[in-house]
Amino acid sequence: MIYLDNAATTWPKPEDVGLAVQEALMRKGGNAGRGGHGAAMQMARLIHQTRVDLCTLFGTNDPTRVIFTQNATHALNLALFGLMRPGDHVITSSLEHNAVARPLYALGQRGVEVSEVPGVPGAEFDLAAYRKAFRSNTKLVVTLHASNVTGTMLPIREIGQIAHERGVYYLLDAAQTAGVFPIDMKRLPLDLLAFPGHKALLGPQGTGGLLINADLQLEPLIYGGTGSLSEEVRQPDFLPDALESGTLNGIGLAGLGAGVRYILTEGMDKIRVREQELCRKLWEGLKKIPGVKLYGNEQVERRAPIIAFNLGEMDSVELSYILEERAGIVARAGLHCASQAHRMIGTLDQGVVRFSPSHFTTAEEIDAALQTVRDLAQGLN
Amino acid sequence: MLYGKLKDYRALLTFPSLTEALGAERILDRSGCPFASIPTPRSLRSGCNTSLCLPLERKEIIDDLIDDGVVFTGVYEAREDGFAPLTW
Repeated sequence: MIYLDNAATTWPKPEDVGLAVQEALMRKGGNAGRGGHGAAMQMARLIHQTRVDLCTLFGTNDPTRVIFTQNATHALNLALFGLMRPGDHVITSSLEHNAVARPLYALGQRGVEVSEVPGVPGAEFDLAAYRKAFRSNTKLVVTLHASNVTGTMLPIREIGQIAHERGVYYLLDAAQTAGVFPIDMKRLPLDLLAFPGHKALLGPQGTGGLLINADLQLEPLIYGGTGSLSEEVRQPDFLPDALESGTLNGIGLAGLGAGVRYILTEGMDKIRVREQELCRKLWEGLKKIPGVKLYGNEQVERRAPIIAFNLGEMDSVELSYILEERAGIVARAGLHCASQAHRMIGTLDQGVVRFSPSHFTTAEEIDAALQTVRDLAQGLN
Repeated sequence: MLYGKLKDYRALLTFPSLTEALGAERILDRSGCPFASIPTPRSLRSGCNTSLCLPLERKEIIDDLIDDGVVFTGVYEAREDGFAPLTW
């Protein structure tokens, strides 16, 4: 199999991730915070180490503000439903994944006002329109960092600065960038950062989190046992307990910590440069194939490691199926849970095929993928 | 009644959450100061059910914990007749 769907979930994982999961599962399986016995404390320390590692990666220094969730969608829901109240206003982009678009639609049904900043291919976020979108009741701006469809990145520094000038919080969805691009919470104007653990952070599925950088209070999404203040029926108001009810995925979080430490050791820049090299090879190779249409920014340095394309008028899901059938090339196709982004690039019917390599992908695998598309294109002509 | 390491380590730190206690553990680990995690004594139980104890003669290290941003709910000297707020 040639796995080119790392934007959905990275695979393979570093060996240390598997070892950390095994170690936690087989040797440290207590329930963190539930009792002070040795097994519970072992697991608690593993989870805490992952909080500390994430702080190092994201330039923060308060592990209590790392809230673990099942995935980035869960983290985004926690932030959006935790912050927005009827009568509040939120601004978002036209590239959002359903992880943001659907919660905002649901909040809209409950009396939250939602504005979408327009965009067109090449100018995906209209900053002038954004400046005009603010209202007296605007509480939050939420955008993705990079599109999961095309990899195109939004100007998050400008977006955050403008939000802060207006006294508005900024929530960033880093689903496609956390672990690939540096995100320094101390230097970027971010208040909330949602990230998946199982993508470029190289952890297991079922892990993710929300970093809270601002002094703001979120209503919990779920209530329940935290292992703290057990004598009280009210939810603790301190972090992370306030927002982490129920047993955490400690086994997965041990693996996530190993993934983050792998990135810190290997160097994020080295990983990103490798992935960008592979993307450049893909882009240049696909560009030369008659009938191929590419989407997104041509500069691979300004894009998450994603190459979106179509071949003629062929349905993207069919193309993806044939790629797997012929050469074992595994790639996502269709609408990628982001209908607005497809509307913007004009692929709502056809969808796109998305190649997303990781730094483990080899040049030979990229060559094989290109040759297969080339052969298919020749067959069409 | 004093139990476990509390019999030897008479300075007791209590925390609002386990995450704070674990943060304190890391700092104590780095400093080389001996410590032990113990169940929070019943009379002091509020917040985290795990506390840390360390030798009373090393109590100055509590300043380092505070400097590193650790949040406590209390700092005590464990005596045979109970827990007295500790000054250092």
